[in-house]
Amino acid sequence: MTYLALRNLFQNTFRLILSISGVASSIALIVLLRGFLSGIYVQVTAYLDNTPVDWVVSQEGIRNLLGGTSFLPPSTEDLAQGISGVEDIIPIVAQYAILDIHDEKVVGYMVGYDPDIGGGPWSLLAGRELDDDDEIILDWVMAEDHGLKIGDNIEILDEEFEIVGLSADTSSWMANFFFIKKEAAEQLLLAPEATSFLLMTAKPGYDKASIEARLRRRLQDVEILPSQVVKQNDLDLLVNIFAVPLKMMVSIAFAVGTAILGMIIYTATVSRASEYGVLKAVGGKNTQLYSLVVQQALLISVVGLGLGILLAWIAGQAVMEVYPKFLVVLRSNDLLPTIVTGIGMGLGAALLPALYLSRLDPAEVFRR
Amino acid sequence: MNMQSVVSVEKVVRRFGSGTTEVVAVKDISLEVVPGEVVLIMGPSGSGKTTLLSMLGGLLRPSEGRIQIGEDDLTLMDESQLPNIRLQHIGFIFQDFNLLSALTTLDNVALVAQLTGISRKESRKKAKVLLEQLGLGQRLDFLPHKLSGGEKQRVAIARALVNKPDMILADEPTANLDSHHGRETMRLLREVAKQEKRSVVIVSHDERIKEIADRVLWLEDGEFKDMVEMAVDPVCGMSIDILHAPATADFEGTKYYFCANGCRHEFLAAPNSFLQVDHE
Repeated sequence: MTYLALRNLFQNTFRLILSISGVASSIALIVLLRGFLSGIYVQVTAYLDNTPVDWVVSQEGIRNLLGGTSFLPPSTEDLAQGISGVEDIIPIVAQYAILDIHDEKVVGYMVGYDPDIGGGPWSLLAGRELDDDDEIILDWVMAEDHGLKIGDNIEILDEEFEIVGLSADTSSWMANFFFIKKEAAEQLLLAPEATSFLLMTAKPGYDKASIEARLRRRLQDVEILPSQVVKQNDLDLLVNIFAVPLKMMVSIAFAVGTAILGMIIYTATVSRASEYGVLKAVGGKNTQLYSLVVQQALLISVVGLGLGILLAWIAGQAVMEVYPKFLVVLRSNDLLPTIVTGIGMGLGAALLPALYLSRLDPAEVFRR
Repeated sequence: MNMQSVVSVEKVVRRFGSGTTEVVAVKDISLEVVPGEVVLIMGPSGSGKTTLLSMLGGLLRPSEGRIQIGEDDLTLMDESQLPNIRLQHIGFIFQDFNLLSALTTLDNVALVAQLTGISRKESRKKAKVLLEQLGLGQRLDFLPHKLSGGEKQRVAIARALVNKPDMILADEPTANLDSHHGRETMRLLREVAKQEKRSVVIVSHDERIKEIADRVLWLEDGEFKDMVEMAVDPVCGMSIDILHAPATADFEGTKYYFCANGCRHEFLAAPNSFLQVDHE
């Protein structure tokens, strides 16, 4: 039956190309949308993923990094010093800020940090680390979007900063990151000695639960959250808004792909009704005929699947080339759900033709 | 059932519809066919030939009566058992050949063997032997559209024979063939019956098939009627029961029989043009 399925498919190459293209387009769209969603996940958690941090300490009631403005009580950093098991404490000033670039107001996510302690960019594409308070490291996509390069000056809240570095992996669809020294950030916010967050790491070999208990005893009226919780809170706040429509689009792409394949297989089946009728008349069982249409649908969906993944990869690269702020991440662990989707598409598409074949009356072969 | 019979039809009735719309297509028909016998069933359109053929082939269930093929009573069988009976015991030959257009000659025949569960290699081997016996050794890799009508019908015969069935059911096997290929097909069917001892039941309007038939049955209004003297309508070529001919005409001392007044009028307008036609 596999041979007949192949012969039937290749007899009408136009229909074959059309059906493979339909599946490939749907799969490409599904993979691309999922890749885009994964990209948003990566972008939203990029800072905490690339900065060594086990706990984030923030103002009471602020439970995420990117969603709100946090100011810790001035004594918090001093109180945190010397807690057994804590290795590093990185104080940062972080919040959204407006940059004045070529008379255009641009939103960016400002991170004020101490280069000697950490909390700054984790990958520099060009330039160097900050030395002075009037220097800035800009996300490279933001720089490119606005025609900025190392050595140019930009204005933030009426203060001039010279671009000394371009950071990589710090762009996002919401706002790109920029980095200045913590003292400079305090001055911009007119809040000397201010700290938004303390990023803490545990010493290797220490029990994190015990450290966290000690932190809670020492630091009052603040939030002490594991970095995973903060990341999840950021994702819940910023990504889920997009996740629902994106998942809906994925479902629509699946339905459209299944419908296209289903219609093509169905019309192909109907157009061969007399041949299938002959097969039934001469003794072919329904299960053998089902297997024939299922094999045809699966062959198309498997080829469409491979082609769709390739198309998605090409389209993803093209999107990132043209719009670098959009990250498309194609993960290998998304491959299994994609394969299941493609096979599901094939099986779904074979349902209607199979139903048609089950109702096909073999006695029709004698009626003209 | 006669112990020798391949197929036994006992008081079979087939009704379609119910109440005021009920139509009885086949009425109380009985028939026995022995191995090697060629039975030709003739009759006008709408006489129930196709319904009878479909029931003989296990494609349609009778409303009443029994149909037995060998030891198997088709009427007692579950729907799911019938495909196997058709596959193992019955070979079908259709008027339109009904070959699978995507498959070569060899694969068209091999596929039916493969349906029984044997491997593709084995089924192709069987099909090749059979096709070579039928003189199609040079056409094994041809697709159906590359074959002549006669070749297509020989492929269809090979397909019908590949599982060595007890009975061949042929529906108008010569209708789409010219006289040469029609005769060739008839000869083949007779050979199959006589040499391989398979029963052949043919439904046809073609008078020429009478030449190879051991028995000719006349089906009319769903019943077998006595085979009376038959004549051929010289205009349309249809077989006419001379006792019930709707129209007749005398021309140059010979009586001609017609299926309808239209044919009679057409004939009388230019008799010679029809008498020159070789209906054979």
